[in-house]
Amino acid sequence: MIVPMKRLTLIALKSDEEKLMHALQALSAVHIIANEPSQESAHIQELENDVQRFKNAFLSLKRYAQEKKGLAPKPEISAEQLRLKLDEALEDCFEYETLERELNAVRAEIEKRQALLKTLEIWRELETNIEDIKPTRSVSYMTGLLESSRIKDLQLPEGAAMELYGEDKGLRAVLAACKTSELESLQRSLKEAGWIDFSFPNILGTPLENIRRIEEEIGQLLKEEAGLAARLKEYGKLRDEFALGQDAASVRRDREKARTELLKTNTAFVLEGWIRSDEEEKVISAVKQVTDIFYADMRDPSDDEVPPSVVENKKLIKPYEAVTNLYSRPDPRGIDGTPLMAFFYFLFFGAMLSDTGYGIVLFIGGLLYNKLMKPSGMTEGIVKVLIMGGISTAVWGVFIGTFFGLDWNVFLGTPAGTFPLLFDPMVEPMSMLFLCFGLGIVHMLFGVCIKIYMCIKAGDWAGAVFDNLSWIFIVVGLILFGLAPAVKTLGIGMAASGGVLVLLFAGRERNNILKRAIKGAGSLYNVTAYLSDMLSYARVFALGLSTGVIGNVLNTLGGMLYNSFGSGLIMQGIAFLITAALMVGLHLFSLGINVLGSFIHCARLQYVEFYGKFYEAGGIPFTPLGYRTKHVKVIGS
Amino acid sequence: MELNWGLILATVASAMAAVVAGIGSAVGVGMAGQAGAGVISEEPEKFGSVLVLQLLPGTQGIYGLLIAFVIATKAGLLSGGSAITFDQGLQFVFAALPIAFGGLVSAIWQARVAVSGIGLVAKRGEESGKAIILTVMVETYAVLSLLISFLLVNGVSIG
Repeated sequence: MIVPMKRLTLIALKSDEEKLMHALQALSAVHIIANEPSQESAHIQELENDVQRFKNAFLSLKRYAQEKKGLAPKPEISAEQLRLKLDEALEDCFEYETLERELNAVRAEIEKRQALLKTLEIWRELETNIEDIKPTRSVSYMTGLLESSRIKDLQLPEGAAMELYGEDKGLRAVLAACKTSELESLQRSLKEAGWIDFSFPNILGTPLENIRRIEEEIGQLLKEEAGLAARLKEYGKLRDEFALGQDAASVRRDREKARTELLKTNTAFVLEGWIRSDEEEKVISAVKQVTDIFYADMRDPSDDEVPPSVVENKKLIKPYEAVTNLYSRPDPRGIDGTPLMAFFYFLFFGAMLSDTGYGIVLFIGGLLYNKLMKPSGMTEGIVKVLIMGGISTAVWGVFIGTFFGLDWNVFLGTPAGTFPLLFDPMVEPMSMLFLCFGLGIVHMLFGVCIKIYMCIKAGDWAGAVFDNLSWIFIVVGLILFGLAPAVKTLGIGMAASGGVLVLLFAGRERNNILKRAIKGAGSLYNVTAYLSDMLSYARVFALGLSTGVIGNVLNTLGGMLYNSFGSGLIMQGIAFLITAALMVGLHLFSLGINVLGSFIHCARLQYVEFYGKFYEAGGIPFTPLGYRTKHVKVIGS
Repeated sequence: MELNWGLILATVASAMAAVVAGIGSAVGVGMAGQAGAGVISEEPEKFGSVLVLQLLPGTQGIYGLLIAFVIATKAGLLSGGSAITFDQGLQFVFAALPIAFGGLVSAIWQARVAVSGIGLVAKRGEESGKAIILTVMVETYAVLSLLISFLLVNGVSIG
């Protein structure tokens, strides 16, 4: 059900603004409309930086201190506490950042030295000071690298000499010397041999001295690094504080950002927003607790205003809102599809998974997750949809499915043909296919009925009869026609009258009789759309098939493995353990992949085949100013 | 020695269903995985939704395996082989075609949508549900192929 919304205009003194915004944030009931285009002021940017700072610290902490992970709900904290802890958390975060920067600087220094060490290593045996290798008046020097395989063929010009040093990756370090007058010819012959020039970095002393010095420095730096890393590891116990800080900072940013969006004069401010019509009292009393000096007006939305859409459903239906929201929220002036869709979702999900064993596991697993993690929002909805889906799956499994991929009769020892109760889709695929199509037609026509209801409510009788009822006639008529000879005439009559209605009135807005008939004939072609929609329900069978057969494949593989071990008590025991462990893992994988498939394909049936008939999408989400936190749950003070 | 063509063809059919659809899924999951790794390097917390998107083109391989297994069981390939005529063997080969090639092509195209979907998740993590749904639209045709392959295999009468 869609909750009607009210447009709120609140005018109050600027001196009360901060307190009021705190109160409204705690209330989480007002969806503020930006009156001023939100300005990316330096202040807001600063607050946003704080959020990012915590987020980065929280994520990078993983590198230094292991995270202890377990299933646990978000810790609870009051808004007051959250606010008070922010400053302290920020300070710790700054310290952490500084340490981390230092560590990174040290690591960069180490890397730099290691790179230098690598280049010097091949010159280790050169016993000259590096600064002395420079041309004198009569002699020139060249330092460089040569491929070792080409050195022996090298023809040095007269009066030149060279010394060979260490080798790295097939390249030999070479110091060549010659008379300055011969330098050019030396260069030429070296170049032919593939000479790569090498220039020493700006250091003093022999390479060996330098290598020793650098190694010593690296040792020092490594110690420093270890010290810093140990100190960073200490921060592991502050992980929760950083998480809390991130939430506190984002709560503050949200509030301050909303404040910049208010219209202001020197002494007063105007807040405009949307509230649920059943929360008027709540908002006013919250404002009254802060100040008596205010003006508040609440009115229904005007025709050109689109309020955010809020839906309210009974406890069992509510989780299915998550499925609808994945598609799109309802138009606030339209109809909420969730309560209409929920039962079909439940039904088709079970038919797709259709394995009692998997259903039970899904049900229990979902319950446990829900109990331990206490998820909220979208996740909560999906988890609860899956819990209910587990029930549906378990029931469907008895009628048309299997038990962990096992044939029921094998599992229970009942005579062949007893289970599944309805029929075995592997034996009677056509029956299963017709069952899917049948359920699909009911589903689709129900959608058309809702559209008829909506048309009538809007006073559009023509639309109800000519565009929708006519199609029910056609579809039902065609089915009756095909079903049994006894109702053949009735069926053809219904289909024909529906067809005539479409042919004559689908183009009713046109006056020209010819154009009207053409439009009508075009609309009649829509029968193919109904046909393809119906065929789309074949996926229910196909997905059920995939669960059953994959489970069966896994069991067969398990059986092969088990039998491949020899006889004897010990071997049997080992075989049992290994097979059991493997089976649990494989079946969990199969369950995961099939639940994913069933969830999404079932959703698609709702979106395309069902919602396509009547649903008006496009509502904007209701996002009241509140505590949108990631790591902790804020509770009322 | 006389070759048992029926049995050979049934084996070909079973192998083809698994391999051809499997190639599609391997390529598809690979493509999506590469795109996913890029996103995770920036935002490790999006691993969950990226993993789901990467997995989606993987189902075709499973469907292929499924048909391969149904053919293998029906033709008795796992237990030495039953008497299969040439016609029946050929029937199996043609029955395997839909899932083999429907799976191959749909897995690769589904992967392309998944790659774009992963891009969408990178920009707007809260919309991952929509990315998943767009990707699954392609899978419809793999599901239909699976169904037809199954019905055709089921329709081969043996014995």
